[in-house]
Amino acid sequence: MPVPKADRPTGRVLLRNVVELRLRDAIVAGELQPDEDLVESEVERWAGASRTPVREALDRLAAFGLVVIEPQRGTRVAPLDVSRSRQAFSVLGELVTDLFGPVVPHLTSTQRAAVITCAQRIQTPTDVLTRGGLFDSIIAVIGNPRLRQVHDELAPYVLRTWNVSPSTAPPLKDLNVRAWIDAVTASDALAAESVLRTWLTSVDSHADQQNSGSA
Amino acid sequence: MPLPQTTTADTGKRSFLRDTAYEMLFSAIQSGQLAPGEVLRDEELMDWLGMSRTPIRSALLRLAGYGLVEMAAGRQTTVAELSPSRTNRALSVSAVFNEYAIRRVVGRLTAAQRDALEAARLEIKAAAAADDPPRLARAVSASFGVLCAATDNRVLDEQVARIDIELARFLQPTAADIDRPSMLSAVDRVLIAALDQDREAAIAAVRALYEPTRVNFLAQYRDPEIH
Repeated sequence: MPVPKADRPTGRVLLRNVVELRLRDAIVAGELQPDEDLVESEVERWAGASRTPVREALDRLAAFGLVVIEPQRGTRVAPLDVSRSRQAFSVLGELVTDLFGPVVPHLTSTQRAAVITCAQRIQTPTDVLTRGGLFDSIIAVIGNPRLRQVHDELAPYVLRTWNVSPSTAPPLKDLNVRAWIDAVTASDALAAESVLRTWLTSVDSHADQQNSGSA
Repeated sequence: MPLPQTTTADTGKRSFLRDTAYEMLFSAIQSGQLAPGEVLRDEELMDWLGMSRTPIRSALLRLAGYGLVEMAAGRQTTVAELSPSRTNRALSVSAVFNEYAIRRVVGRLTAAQRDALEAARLEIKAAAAADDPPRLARAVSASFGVLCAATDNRVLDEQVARIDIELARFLQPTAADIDRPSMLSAVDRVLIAALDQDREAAIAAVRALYEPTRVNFLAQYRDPEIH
């Protein structure tokens, strides 16, 4: 098989990322619905890309649980899995809570202002998790690329569940934003951690009650 | 790129070619046959593995997801370097996974889970006595694996499995300058507290275990996206 070599890998790697982000955003927004068939030729036309980048993008999305690839049945958008989404949010919440604490006393004024601005804007649960939201900004100031990687895998999965089925989003009533902002302003790491942990614990127990109620 | 000489890709009927490619590349990287920094060229891999580009690219992407391979736009694909910054950052995340599990399961471990934990603890001691670092790495990760499995959180299991793959490579004897005895006694304090169902002591012990990681992260390895 004669393979044209010049420059192909470069273009392909970039295109794969572009296709992945476009598909991901469409799935997260619910434009591509749970269980919807993804016919590769249609995706190629939709994304304006050829087979290889589309395949690679689908492989990656499958690894994050947003797409299901089955040998005989083809590729489709993953069905909603509320319990998995709760588990993902629970893990992500612990990461943000535990890894932000030690950084709090070391924040620059710009970093402190950035996270506080995001906290002040919180109106809905989505504002905690969306791009440019609270968790995103906390992770930006923590500065751990490996944490960023976990976030980028888990956050889209959870957001998609909340977008498609808003009643599964956690209530905000136990998130004391005012106390968290005060803690960050005062460089009080323990208090900042405690505010988030209180909220996450209430979200987890809320989920447990719903699970046992439906069982 | 000097490739490992074993060329028999055992393509079982049910396994995908891309899984075979992944397994072969993975073990070549883990064993050091493919060295950190080495360039991976599609054509040479196609010759070596005896398959087309598509399954190989798929395997490389998966390895890149585990941080074992670097694939950046406009650059050659290479075996990831072993670097202290990557180790430290992965350890920081791994620390939280362990603390997550401890917070949720210590105090309500079943008898079977405690037996599994005790067995894992004995295996750590045996591996240390045998001076077998790979076995030791597996034993330590298995002991925390018992705690993580007890959370019944599939997402946690998946994340832990992936980061353990990275850390096993980082913590090879050649790469490590860790104080193994003090690390092992810190691990043992976590396991003893967990076996005693003492949640607060276990949380304190796991925080102590990762204190050097935390200190080094703040001092050296923090790379904020906003300054």
